[in-house]
Amino acid sequence: MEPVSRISRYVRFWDRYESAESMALVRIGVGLVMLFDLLQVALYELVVTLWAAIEQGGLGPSSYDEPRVMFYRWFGASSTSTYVLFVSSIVTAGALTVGLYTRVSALVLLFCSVQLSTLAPEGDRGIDALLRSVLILIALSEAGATWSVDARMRFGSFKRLAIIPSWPRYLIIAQLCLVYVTAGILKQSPEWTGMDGYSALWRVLNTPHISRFEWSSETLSRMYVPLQAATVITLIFERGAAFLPFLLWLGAHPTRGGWFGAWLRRGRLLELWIATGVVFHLLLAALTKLGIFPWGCLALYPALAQPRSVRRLVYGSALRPAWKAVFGREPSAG
Amino acid sequence: MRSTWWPYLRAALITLVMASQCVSAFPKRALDEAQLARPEARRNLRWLGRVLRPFGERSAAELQHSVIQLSRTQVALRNALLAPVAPLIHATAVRQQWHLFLTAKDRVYRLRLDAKTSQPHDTWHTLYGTNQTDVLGLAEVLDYRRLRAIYNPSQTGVSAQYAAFVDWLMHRVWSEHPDFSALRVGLERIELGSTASDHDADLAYAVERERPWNP
Repeated sequence: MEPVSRISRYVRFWDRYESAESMALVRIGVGLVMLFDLLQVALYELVVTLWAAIEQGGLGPSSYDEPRVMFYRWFGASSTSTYVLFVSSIVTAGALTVGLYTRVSALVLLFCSVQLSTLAPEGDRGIDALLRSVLILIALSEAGATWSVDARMRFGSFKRLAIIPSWPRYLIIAQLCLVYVTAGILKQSPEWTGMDGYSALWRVLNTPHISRFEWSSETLSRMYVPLQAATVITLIFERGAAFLPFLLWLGAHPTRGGWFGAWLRRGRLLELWIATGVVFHLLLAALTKLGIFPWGCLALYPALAQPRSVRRLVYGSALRPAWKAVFGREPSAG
Repeated sequence: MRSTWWPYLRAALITLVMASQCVSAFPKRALDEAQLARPEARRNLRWLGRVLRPFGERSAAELQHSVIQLSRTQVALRNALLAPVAPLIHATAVRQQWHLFLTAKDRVYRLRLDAKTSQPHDTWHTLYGTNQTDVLGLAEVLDYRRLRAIYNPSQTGVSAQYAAFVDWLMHRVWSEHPDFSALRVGLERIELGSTASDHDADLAYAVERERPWNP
């Protein structure tokens, strides 16, 4: 094949278009997860504690002398500024969820999240960085083209058949792969290997600050072998994400890939990987106190689905009765 | 009308973003002797020695030195490649270092809050112990991830905000329960696999205060 045509194929790959349902689901999921996290802070009365300047009662490191963030330099490091920043985050997370001024909401939420992360760097976890990178992609995509207030305001209907660029969804998939693969590769310490009998998840459940429950040592001893198996499955799942783009490509091209592709499709490896991921994150949510981490990761999973599959699921027969019960009429795509 | 150059420019920009994010995922700190002394690193070095044997015999010390030099070169190369996009990475606070659950070690900790009342000869009573005791209904707040990150020790100890966290916790308890004459906050050490209770052992990072106290 000529080099020029390879470049053309590469350019065409990033110039693909598709309907907007998958990205709309990612937008709704990310918005809901961030909104839930912020509402927890309000519920526990931690706004000032986490993000205000030390002189205002915050834990730091921000202070009057060292405001640390652009927002405090512009408006002063008062507790009023803290609340304005916090309320802006909540409003934009809510707006993102319902798809109101989607691009602007995503960008303002990104700005607020960066400010909050700098004000409390210890409390800024990997999931916050992951959601920030997805916010950039949401802002650059047309994720508010359907199932949104934007669609209602511009076209008179919350749902419409909108055709949007595919590349933001592809980049979310690439981001998920990077998260899982690097996390899997970095798990080299003895408890994640045979050197310590794959004891990592047994240790996690023994860690009070992480485990949701206080397990007795007898119960954990009985669970030791299943937890060893779960540790191995976690490693296979995370490192297996390296093959996710290939599996997605095979799924999108049923006649390509030769006998090996056909064999992989028959084995339903893609479905198996996704199901493992869903179960893995639901178990994390049930058994550990990792906050929004499992839900934030699951919010990105709709990006793995072809928009036509999402449309089939929502407008097709599977969810018709539930849709009719909620909205009082049959669903329609247009 | 769609421009003909935009798809090419967009493909180039996407490639640049993906490349920078992949480079960003490489380690940002070079390996040192202490890290290579860990069991998992020694095992990986032995494996590397076996792989490289056809290209010439090297001693363990030589191999370790080469790995450290290579790691330093990789970090320098990573930083040099990321330098043009560093302002953008800083502005968006996006990072690609995914250390998920790497530190499930032999010793773990449990946050504990103890109190004394003003009765004579009173001893410490535990008001809060993660997953065990929650007399004042503090569990939901203290379990919140952003707060837990401040008191949960990493390999290098508790965070710089730990002292401020202790002050905040004591202030919160005393504002609602002024009857306590003294409070103590610390981290109970737990050795995994040991059946002995460490409840009465010395608390790590313990801070003890008596009323009246003005932070």
